[in-house]
Amino acid sequence: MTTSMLPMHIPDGFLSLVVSIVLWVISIAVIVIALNRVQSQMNERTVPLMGVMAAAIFSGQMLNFPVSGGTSGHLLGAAIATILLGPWAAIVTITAVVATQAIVFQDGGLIALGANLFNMAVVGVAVSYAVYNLVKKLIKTEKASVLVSGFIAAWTSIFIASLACALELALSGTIGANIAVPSMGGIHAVIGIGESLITVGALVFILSTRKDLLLGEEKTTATGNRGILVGGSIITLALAILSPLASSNPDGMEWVAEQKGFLEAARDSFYNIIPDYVFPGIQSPTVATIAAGIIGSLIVFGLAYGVASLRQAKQQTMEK
Amino acid sequence: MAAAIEVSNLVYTYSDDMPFHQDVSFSIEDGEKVALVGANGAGKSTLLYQLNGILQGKGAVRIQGLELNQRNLNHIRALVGLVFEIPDDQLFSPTVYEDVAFGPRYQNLPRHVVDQRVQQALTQVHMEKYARQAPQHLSQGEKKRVAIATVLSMQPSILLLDEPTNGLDRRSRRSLITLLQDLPQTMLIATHDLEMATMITRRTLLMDGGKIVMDGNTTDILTNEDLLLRHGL
Amino acid sequence: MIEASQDRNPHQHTVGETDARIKVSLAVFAILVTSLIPVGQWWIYLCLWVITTVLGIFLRIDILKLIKRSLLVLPFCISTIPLIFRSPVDFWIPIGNWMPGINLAGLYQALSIIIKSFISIQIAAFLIMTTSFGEIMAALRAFGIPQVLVSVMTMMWRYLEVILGEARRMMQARAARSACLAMDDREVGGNLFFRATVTGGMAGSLFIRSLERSERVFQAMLARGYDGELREDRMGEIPSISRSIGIIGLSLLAGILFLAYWLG
Repeated sequence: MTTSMLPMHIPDGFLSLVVSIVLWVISIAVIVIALNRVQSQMNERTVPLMGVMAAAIFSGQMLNFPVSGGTSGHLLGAAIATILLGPWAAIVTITAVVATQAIVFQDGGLIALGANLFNMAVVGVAVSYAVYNLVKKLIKTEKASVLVSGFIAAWTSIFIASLACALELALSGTIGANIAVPSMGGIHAVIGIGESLITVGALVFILSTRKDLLLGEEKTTATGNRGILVGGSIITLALAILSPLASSNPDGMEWVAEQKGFLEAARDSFYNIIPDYVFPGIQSPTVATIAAGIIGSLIVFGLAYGVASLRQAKQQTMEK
Repeated sequence: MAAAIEVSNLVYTYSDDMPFHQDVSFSIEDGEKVALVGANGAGKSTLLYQLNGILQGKGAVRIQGLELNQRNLNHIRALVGLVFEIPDDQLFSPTVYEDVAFGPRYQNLPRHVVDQRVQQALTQVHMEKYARQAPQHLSQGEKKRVAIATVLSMQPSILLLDEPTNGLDRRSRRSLITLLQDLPQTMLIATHDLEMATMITRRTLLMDGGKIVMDGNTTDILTNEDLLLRHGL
Repeated sequence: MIEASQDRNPHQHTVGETDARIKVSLAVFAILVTSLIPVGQWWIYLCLWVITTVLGIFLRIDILKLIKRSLLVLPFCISTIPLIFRSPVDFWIPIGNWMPGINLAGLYQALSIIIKSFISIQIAAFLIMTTSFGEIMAALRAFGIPQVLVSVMTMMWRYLEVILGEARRMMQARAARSACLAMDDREVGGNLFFRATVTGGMAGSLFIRSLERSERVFQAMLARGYDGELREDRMGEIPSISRSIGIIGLSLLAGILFLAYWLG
């Protein structure tokens, strides 16, 4: 089975539309920036390098090692991709991987794809990058700094991404934050160790064969990357603080309801700008009926038109 | 009449980790088929890669009289087709058609010309029916032939081949040899397959340690066990 | 011409052969509609499920494959169970010694989520089962996804099987080397730490080799004249049959959504 088997790919139906849309917008913005950065860094190499490495990361996720009782440890690869390729390239490659998993293997939904991309390609990479570079500064020995920072970065990327996932589910009302955060966080705190170990194993190998890829001129000093450094740190801190706050709320659902109320109030105020907009809960019954009538007619018309045009189209192709 | 390939005092140095030098001079006429033979690490691939500009060495390389430099690079790459050792590296498009069309497309040829070139190239390698196939599903032998087609569609006058019969079963190998015998282009073939070299080429360049140690008749060189042993084969 | 699509019988335009742009749009819209249907609209859910089943039959979908993919939602479905047992309790169910309290609204919500996610996965599965990856990429490009991303994903797809094969062979080689001495009580394969690091080594090796392969592919592209400029293959006009199917599908889905809110 060619799926990643990490319980982080949210299927469709579990996130509210608002949450999905917001995360889509953020993900698209970040990915577009990443695409531009990568192209200016790599020029003609972009397509072959990103394409083949995306295939490598996808395949790397298939490598597993038995843990116990039939479970196995897997890799997400955000950390190793970030360390090996740099943050922007990592965003692009993980995007390619996660999108393909959703489209081809239904590992993660299509509307929820925005959220999944956010969690794995954006948060996963940004957190890896920030943690890796910050920890690396603290350790003097070259090799040790790479391995220790890699270990911590890998674990943190998985853990923080899972917190984001939990909060998204909570915000959507699917599952209370008081359950989602501890369970997602708890599970991934353990899974994260597998990620760390595999990442370190990979780094050891790379250090022994192509250490030029890991050491040497720091890509972090590029001003473009500073944005990710800062962003990644903020995300890490924000999620680390928000999550226990959300989950320690005495009644997790109440907290969610409050958020939902806020979101619905926001939505209603939006529709108040367009008073005749058709939406349930419209005040005037007359307007509602008329609007319903119009919409209904349009739909029936659409159907009729569609069927008629299908007949005509079929006839035309037969005549050809 | 300019030689097809003219190399003078070509020197290539790897990065500091591997101080390896080549000092190579030779010339190949139009239509000649020459074998490049030598042990692993003798420098065969390195030499080939310098002839179409992938690697840049010091010294002079002239293709059809044109000097190989940054300015002429594109033109030269249209004249010289390099067939890589690993076909998967060269078949990077979703379908065979697109792979073979790649070269002509990037030469900015009009659509119908591209299509013609693809037809011709695939016919030359007897793979016409495979146009819609994804390259990953082809056999090794089929991949090698398509790889050659991807280069033929650019209508080069010179073919450089890096270990063409490597990894082929007997039947594929035999049909590939026939194909190479039939193709009209000037050829420089780097290979371990001495038997193939004898069947296709009349001249052989024997390399050892980055230098050409012998340049002569294929049969003479390849039947000289002593000579071959001395140079690592 | 090498293009041989003309020798297909035009009468046999199956639903599955609809233009990829229409299929992708309809699939996404269908999933969107599904998610917008309010909780508890059982008849509408049934309606949707019947339509997708009929569609599945039309498209000759392999049921076994479909079921396998649908199972992917299970872990997440389990996460909706707490909704059922939240307070306030509407009624109790005696199960042996245990007396769990059920919240009706929560139960409805959980069931709605589960049903909707199953329907969504079916729709997504139909899409990929009737459309090739390349066609979907072309459709995405037509929708405005940047060419460079589409090219990257297309290249990834091309080398996925190759590199997956490498990964598989590495794991097989590892399995062959870890002889299983079942007689020993000692943990087979070394301790967890060792196993993880070995796996990491395999990943590292895979990545390095892929990096080197990408360089060779790049050189191969350059050798054939690649200049970094991505040539786009424009999709032609949407054929009329596909357009009609699109309109029908769109209307149907809009109708279902409308109905759901009208009845709600």
